[in-house]
Amino acid sequence: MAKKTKNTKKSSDSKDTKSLGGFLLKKMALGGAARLRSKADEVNKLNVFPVPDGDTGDNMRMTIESGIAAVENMDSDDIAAVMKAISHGMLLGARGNSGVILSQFFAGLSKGLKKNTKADVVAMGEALQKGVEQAYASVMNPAEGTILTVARESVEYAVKRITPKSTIRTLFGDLVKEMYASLERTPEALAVLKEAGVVDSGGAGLFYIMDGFNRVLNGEQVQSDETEEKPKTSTVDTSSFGPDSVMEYGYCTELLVQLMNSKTDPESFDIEPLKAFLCEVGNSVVCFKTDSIVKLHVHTMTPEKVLEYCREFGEFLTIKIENMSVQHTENADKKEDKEDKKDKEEKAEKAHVSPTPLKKYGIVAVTNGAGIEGLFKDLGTDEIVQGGQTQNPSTNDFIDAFEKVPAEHIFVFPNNGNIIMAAQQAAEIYKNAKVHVIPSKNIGMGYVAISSADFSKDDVDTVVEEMKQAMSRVTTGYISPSIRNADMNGVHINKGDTIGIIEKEIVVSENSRMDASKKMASLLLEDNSKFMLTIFYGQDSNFDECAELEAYMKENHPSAEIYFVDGGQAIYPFIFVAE
Amino acid sequence: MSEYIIVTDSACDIKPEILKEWGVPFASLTFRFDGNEKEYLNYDMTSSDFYQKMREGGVAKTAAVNVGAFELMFEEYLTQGKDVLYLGFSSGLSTTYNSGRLAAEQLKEKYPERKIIAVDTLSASAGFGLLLYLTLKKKNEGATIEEAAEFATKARFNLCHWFTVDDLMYLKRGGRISPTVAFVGNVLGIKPVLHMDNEGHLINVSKVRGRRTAVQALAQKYDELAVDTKSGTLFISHGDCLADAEYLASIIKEKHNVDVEIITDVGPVIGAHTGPGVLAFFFVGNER
Repeated sequence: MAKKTKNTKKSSDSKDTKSLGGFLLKKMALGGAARLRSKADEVNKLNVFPVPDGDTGDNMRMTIESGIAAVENMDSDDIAAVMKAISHGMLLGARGNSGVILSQFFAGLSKGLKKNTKADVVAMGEALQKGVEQAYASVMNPAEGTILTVARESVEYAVKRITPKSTIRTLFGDLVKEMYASLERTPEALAVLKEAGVVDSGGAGLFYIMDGFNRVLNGEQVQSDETEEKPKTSTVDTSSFGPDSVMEYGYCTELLVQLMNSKTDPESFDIEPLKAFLCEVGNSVVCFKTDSIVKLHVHTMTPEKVLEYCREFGEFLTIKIENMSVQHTENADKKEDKEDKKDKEEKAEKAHVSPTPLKKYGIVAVTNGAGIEGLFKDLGTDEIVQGGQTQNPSTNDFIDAFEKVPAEHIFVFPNNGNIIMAAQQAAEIYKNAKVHVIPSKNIGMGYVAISSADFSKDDVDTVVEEMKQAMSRVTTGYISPSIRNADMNGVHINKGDTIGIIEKEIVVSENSRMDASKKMASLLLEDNSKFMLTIFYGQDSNFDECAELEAYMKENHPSAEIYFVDGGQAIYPFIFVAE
Repeated sequence: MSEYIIVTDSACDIKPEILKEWGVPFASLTFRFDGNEKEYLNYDMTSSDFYQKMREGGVAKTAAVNVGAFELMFEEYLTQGKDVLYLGFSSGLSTTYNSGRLAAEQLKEKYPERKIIAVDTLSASAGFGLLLYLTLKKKNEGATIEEAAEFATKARFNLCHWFTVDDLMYLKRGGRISPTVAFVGNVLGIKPVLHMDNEGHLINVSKVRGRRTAVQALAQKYDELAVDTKSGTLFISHGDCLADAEYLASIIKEKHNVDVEIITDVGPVIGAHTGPGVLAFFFVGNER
C-alpha cells in the first residue's frame, strides 16, 4: 500500500518556509501519520483505567491514515485542495471520539485554508484557530484537560508568537513545543488523569501527529519507516476455492496506471471510454484520473482484458487482483478499499432507487461478542457493526452498515461512549435515510433501549423518546481484572485484583472475581431506585459463578428481578445492567 | 313480575363461598393435565397446587361447560318457577357461553312461560366477576330480569380488563393470542401489558421492562380510564402472585378511594392459558 510518492521532490525547500503549499503539506501529513504510527501503542496505554482496553492511539492512527490515503495519489501544490482531501478522508475514517475530534480539527484547518493555494504563516495561524474552533464545536460538553485543551493552548501560544519574521517552521515549532507543555499539564486540569498518573491520550495523539509535521519541516525523514506495514499481516484463507470450485464472484481488480507519453497524451486523456469499457467487463467500477495517473477499481471475471486494455495507453504502477471467493482477512485498519469508500460515499449522496421497498424502521447496532450480537439481532437489529471498547468503528463503517438497511428511518445504537460521535458524524453524512443515533454509552443502555422500543408505533419521535427514556434509568457496571497496580478514589488496587467500574469510576476492588461481582450487584441495587438486574456473563464466566451469583441475589435482594444473559463478551466476565 | 335468579359459570373467578353468599349458582368449566385422564372442576385444585404443576412443566387442557350441564342447572330453577339470567364467560375465549345460550333456547320450548336470558359478558376472570357483582347489585336494587340483562349488556363495554403475564408463551400456546403479538415476550425481562377488547379478545398494548414497571403500568390505567374513583370497586385476580396483587392494590389505594376490594385467584381454567404470574386488574371505565 505504501507507495513511494515521486512528486514530493518538487516541494519547496523546507528550511525557509514562508509559505506552505500542497506538496509539503502532504509530506508533513505523511510524517505526522508515521510519527503517530510508531507511538500508537504508547498512546493506547495512556488509559485512565488499569484495564486492557485503551485504543486511542489506534483510533487516531487509523483516522490520520485515512486522511493521507486520500492524498496518496494526489499531485498538487494547492494547499486548499490537499487539505480538503486529507480532512475529507479523515472525516470518513474517523474512529473513536478522539478520532472524530481530530477529524474535526482538520476539517477546521481545511475551512480556514479553502481560499489559499499557498498559506503564509498568518493564514496558517488563522486556519489552526479555525481547527480549534471546530474541534470544540464537535463536542457537546467540551471538557478541559483533553485533546481540546492541548489543541487550543498550543494554537493560542503559537499564534501569539507570530512576528513578521516568523516562518511556517517557527510556527509549528512553537506549536509543538507548547503542545508538549500543555499535554504535561492535562493531569492538572482533569482529576481522573492525575489519579491514574497519565496524561490525556487524545492530546498525546495530537501531539505526535503535529510533532511529525514539525519534524518534516525540519528536514527529518519521519516518513518511510516501512515497518509501519507490520500490523497489516494479511492472511488469505484459500480453503474456500478448490479445484472444483466455480468462479462465481470474479476478481477484485485494482490498478494504478501511469499514462505514457509514448502511448497517449496523458494531459488530454479521456477516461470516459475506459469507464465504459470497465462497466462492460465488470461492475463496482471506480475510475478517476489525477494528472497523469489513472486509478481504477473493478470487479470482473476477466481481469486480463482490463490489463490488456490499459496497456494500450499506459504502464502499471501497481496491480492488485484478488479472487473474491477467497476470504482476505486483514487487520481492521484496511478492511476496505479506499476507493470503495469514495464509491460508497458518492452513492450515499446520490438519491438511489432501492430495489426492495423501504421499511419504516431499520436498526444498526455496534456489538462485540457473539452472544450480544445474537441478542441484538433477536431484538430486530438489521446490521451489526463489529466494535466495542478496544475496536471503535469508523464513520465509514457506519455508512457501510446504513447502506445495507433499506429503511426510511435508521436507529443506531453505538453502545459505547467512545463510538457515539462517529455514529453521529455518519448520520450527518448519510442521506438515504433519516438516521437517529440513540446515544447508548454502553451495552446495557443499548440493550434496554432496543428491548423497550415499540417499533409498531408510527411516530418516529415517540419511538426515539421512549427509547431514550428507558435508557435514562439504566446504570451499567463492568467487572474486569486489573492489569496494573493503581490507586483510584482512595482505593489501592493490585494487579490481578478484580475491579468494578460504573460510569468511569472504579467503585469496587476485590481479590476475587466473585466477591467483586457480588459487591457490584449490591451496590447497584442498594439505593432502591433500581429493581431489575440483567447480568451479561462473558466468555470466561462459567455456570457455577452464575449460580453462585443467583443464590447470593436471592438471599440478599429477594425482591429484585434478575435475568442472566449469555453475552459472550471478552474482557468483562460480568456486565451488570441495573434499571 | 316473577322471581328470577342470576346464574353464571366458573370462569368468573369468584370463589365458590362468595358466590354462595351472593346466591349465585354456577356451572364449572373443567381441566385436566396432559397425559392424565382425570378431569377436575375449576375449584377442585388449589391455585398454588395448580400453578406449581404448571411451573413443573404440566400442560393443562380446559374444557367448556356443555349444553347438558347448563340444561340441568337452568332446569333446577325453572322447575321452581324462577326465571333465569345467565351471565357467561366471553365468547371470544370459550364456547361455554354458546352452550349456555343453546341450553336456554332449548329450554324455552319446554318452559314457554319462563324467561331464560343468556348474556355474553365478553369478559373473563374477575372482570367477569365484577360484571356479575354489578348486575347482582342492580337486581338487589329491584331491577327486573330484562333490566338486569340490559344493564349487563351495556355495562360489559365499560369493564376495563388490564393484565400482565410473566411469560407470553402460555397465551401463545393456548392460541389465545396471535404469534406476532406474542413475539415481544421472547426477551428476558420484557413484560407485556395487555387488555381485552370489546369482542373479548386479548390485545397486547405495550411492553415494559420488568415486572414492577408492568404493575405500575396497570395502576396507571386506573388513573387514566376509571370513571368512579371516589367509591371505586377494585377487582384483582392473580396466578399465585399475591404479593404483586397487593402491591397493585396499594398503589391504587394511595391515590384513590376504594369501597369494595376483591383479590382473588385466577382459577385453573383461565390460568391454564395465562400461566403462573398472571396479574389482572378490572374496573369500570368510560370504555374498555
